[in-house]
Amino acid sequence: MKTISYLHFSLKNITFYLSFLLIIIALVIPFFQISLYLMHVLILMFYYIGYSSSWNLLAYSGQVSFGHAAFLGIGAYITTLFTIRTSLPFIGVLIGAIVSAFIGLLIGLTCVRLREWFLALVTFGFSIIMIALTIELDEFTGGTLGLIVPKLFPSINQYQYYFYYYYIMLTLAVFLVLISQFIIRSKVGLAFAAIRENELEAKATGINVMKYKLLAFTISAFFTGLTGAFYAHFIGFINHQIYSPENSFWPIIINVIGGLATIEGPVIGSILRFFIIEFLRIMEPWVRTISPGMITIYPKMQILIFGAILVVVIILMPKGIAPQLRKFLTPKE
Amino acid sequence: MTKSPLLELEKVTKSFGGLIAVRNIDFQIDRNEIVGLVGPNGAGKSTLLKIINRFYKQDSGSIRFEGEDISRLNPHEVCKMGISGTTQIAQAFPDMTAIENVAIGVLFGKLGRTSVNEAKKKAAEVLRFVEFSENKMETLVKNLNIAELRRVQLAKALATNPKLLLLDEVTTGLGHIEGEKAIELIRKIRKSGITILMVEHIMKIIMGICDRVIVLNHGEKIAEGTPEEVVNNEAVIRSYLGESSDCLK
Repeated sequence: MKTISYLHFSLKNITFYLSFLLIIIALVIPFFQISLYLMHVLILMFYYIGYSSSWNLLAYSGQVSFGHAAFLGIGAYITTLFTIRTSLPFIGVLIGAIVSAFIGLLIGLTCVRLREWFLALVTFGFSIIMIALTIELDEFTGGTLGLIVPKLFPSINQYQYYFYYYYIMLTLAVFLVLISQFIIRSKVGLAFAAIRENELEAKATGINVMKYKLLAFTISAFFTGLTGAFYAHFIGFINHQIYSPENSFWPIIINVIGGLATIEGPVIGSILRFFIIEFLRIMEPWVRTISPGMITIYPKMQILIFGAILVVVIILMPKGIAPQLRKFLTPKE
Repeated sequence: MTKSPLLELEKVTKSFGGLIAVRNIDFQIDRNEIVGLVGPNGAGKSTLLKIINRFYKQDSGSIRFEGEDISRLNPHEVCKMGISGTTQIAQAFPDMTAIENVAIGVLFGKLGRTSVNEAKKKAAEVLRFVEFSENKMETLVKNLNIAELRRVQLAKALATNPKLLLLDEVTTGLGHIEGEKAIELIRKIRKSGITILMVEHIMKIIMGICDRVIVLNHGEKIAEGTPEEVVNNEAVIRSYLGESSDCLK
């Protein structure tokens, strides 16, 4: 019997070797004396893989959040406030993730009966509330001026800090992809998939839909909070803009392009995001030469191009790139 | 000491807005029976099944399963107690394979604690029991035909390890041969010790397979008895069977 269901990730599958190769490449890149800038954008790419994978876990249970930046920000602020007071950043990161999970559970309780646009709007509304709260509670949060986030560990210079952080974020990204795969292949993952596919039938088959939907919210918020906390310690500064709609939309764009509710989707989407943004950056001097007027709107081009890619992907590959790629890579019998 | 019936309904009433779907329904089902639920369209048959598996909450009355009141339970809770079934429109998890669909029944049904791999092995056994094609076990359910889908749905219900199986028009959409096979399968399921309550609109199936028949009309029970008693019942002939009942006698 030799067939591959979409829940399997067999060792014999080419996808496995491709993933292995990607990890090896990622591991050796810093040894090639790459620029600080490239290190920075690669770290951000790993951050987006982690963030999108965390968001994807919720989507895997059929729930779509339009306000996940809220959990990202909670993780970031909690670790910052904790580290400022205790100088224990790693514990701060963990507490940030736990608080984020707890808030995720509470939000999940209000959202668990909502579907589609109603769920999307409530989650989006929550992230907007967080912006208002952060500005209002300026005594703690620094308001619009924000807070300086202590470093995660001491370093001789910025390059060394980036060098080590590169591996921390790579580990986080790989960990979140693997843990997503583990969850998706487990009993819990089958319950998530069943709920996504047919909620009524899931109930009829003995699945406690409410419990598993809440679990999805809590797990997703935990990992998003964890990613947000590591992101804050890397960037070194946070303010209310961490809760911005743009920050909430990135995991959606990445996952829809990469492949919604797939393991590979966040990885493909984040890598694509990295290449498009870097391509636009490389093109900037050229644009400046041929049309100086364009340069004022150039930063907005990123989102414009992603919008265009999103439209093209939705029309040509409604399930995203991953399922198409999988079909292409799966050996024919 | 007398053993309580497997399922017991007492004065169950359910209305949707101003429409009373079922009214004051009483009946019992004993272990290892096949009971047919018949009646014209809109009689309340499917509603009654959905009340038993808790998708609908009754307005009044009580439901007991193995002597335990299940009136306030949720669908997943009664499934774990041993009530499972199929729906009129064949439903499944379309983007999952046949074996994954059935494995979910194993994992979350009455059997409960088992690993995913064990559940898949058990799921394969159940699929074989319902005579599902061996080489389609890893096929996505959305790519199956209606007869195969019905078998997956039935296997999924059986995988939860039910004591009572609720079948809602299980032969709908099937051709003559597939329908005959489905009937054979129902007999095989009963032989394995499972009690069956089935809604069916084809009287010949009911006559050939059921030990007892309950007839509903406009949400009320108008008759109950052996298939022979029911087809000779004046009220049933008048409201449901009409003159065509002669061919069933």
